[in-house]
Amino acid sequence: MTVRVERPNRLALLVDEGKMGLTIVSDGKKLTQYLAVLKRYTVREAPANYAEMTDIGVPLKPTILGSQGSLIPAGGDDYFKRLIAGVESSKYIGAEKVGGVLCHHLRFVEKRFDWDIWIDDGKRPVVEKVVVNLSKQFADEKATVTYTVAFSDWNVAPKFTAADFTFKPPAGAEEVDELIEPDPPHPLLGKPAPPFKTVDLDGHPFDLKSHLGKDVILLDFWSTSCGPCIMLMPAARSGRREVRGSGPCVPSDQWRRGCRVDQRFPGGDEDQSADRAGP
Amino acid sequence: MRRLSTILIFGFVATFFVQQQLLAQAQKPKPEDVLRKMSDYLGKLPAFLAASWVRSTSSPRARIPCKRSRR
Repeated sequence: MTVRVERPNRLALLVDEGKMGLTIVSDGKKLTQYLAVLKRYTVREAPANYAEMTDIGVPLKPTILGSQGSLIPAGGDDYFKRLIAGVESSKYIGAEKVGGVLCHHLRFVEKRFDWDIWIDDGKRPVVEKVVVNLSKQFADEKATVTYTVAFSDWNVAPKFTAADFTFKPPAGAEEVDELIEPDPPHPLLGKPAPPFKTVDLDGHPFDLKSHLGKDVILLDFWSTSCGPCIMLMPAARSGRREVRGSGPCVPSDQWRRGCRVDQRFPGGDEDQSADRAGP
Repeated sequence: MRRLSTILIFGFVATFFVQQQLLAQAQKPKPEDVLRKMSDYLGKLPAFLAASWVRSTSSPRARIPCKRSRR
């Protein structure tokens, strides 16, 4: 990902890793948002702040603190307030090097996650790395889930030209009014689920028919590399507990399903999806 | 006498250790101050350019008691 910022409101955010591909460009007058996976882009009047510019209608993968408003380290008073808003406690961990740069390593604890940040200890106090640790949300499963955002190649006195803030639509790209249109209601919404059989992750056969009229089944498909999935986890967990507390079992739950998804990732004890995905 | 000396030495060492700890703690910057300094610095830059990448890491396989997918 590359970020170019020229105040007050020129921006070029180019996310070229991952599956989605996102480009956000503001020339100071017009804002263009382009999703490569959909080959769609929108053009509208440029907002005054960078947080609004990154709003594409859906949550992106957590970057700094799980908020796409912090996708761009714009700085300033609002930025600081947003960073510190949910912090319950903090700790100075020590001085450490990140990519050869001596940094302050700080830890901030919030209710739902902790985040560590490494800030250049020199004349340019820029952010070099952020690690968001979401493991609190997986405490029951004793699993570890983290996001690392690393910054590099800081240039604090760039010489930009107009071309740096110009969007050229790729071949086949379509200009639309809405970047992401809401899905039409699913034809099965409100209707009985179709019967299916499978084998759960413990190797036990599962037949939806045998739970008909008895249990509530919550079947969720998620991945640690999916920003919206992670952001919805507290709600899903709450719903799961609510259902579990009210009566019969929930034999298929998102945590097991997530486990299955994660098993695609290579690695040893420390699986790394390493998808480097943007949104 | 030997016991008294041992107690005194221990007392000196403990006091020295505590002082060093307090000194080190006092020298550590407050995390919020460092964060504020970064925000102020970035906020005042008229322009900047940076590259970044995101990586997610998870370790459920090692700890969640589940078996491999049969898909």
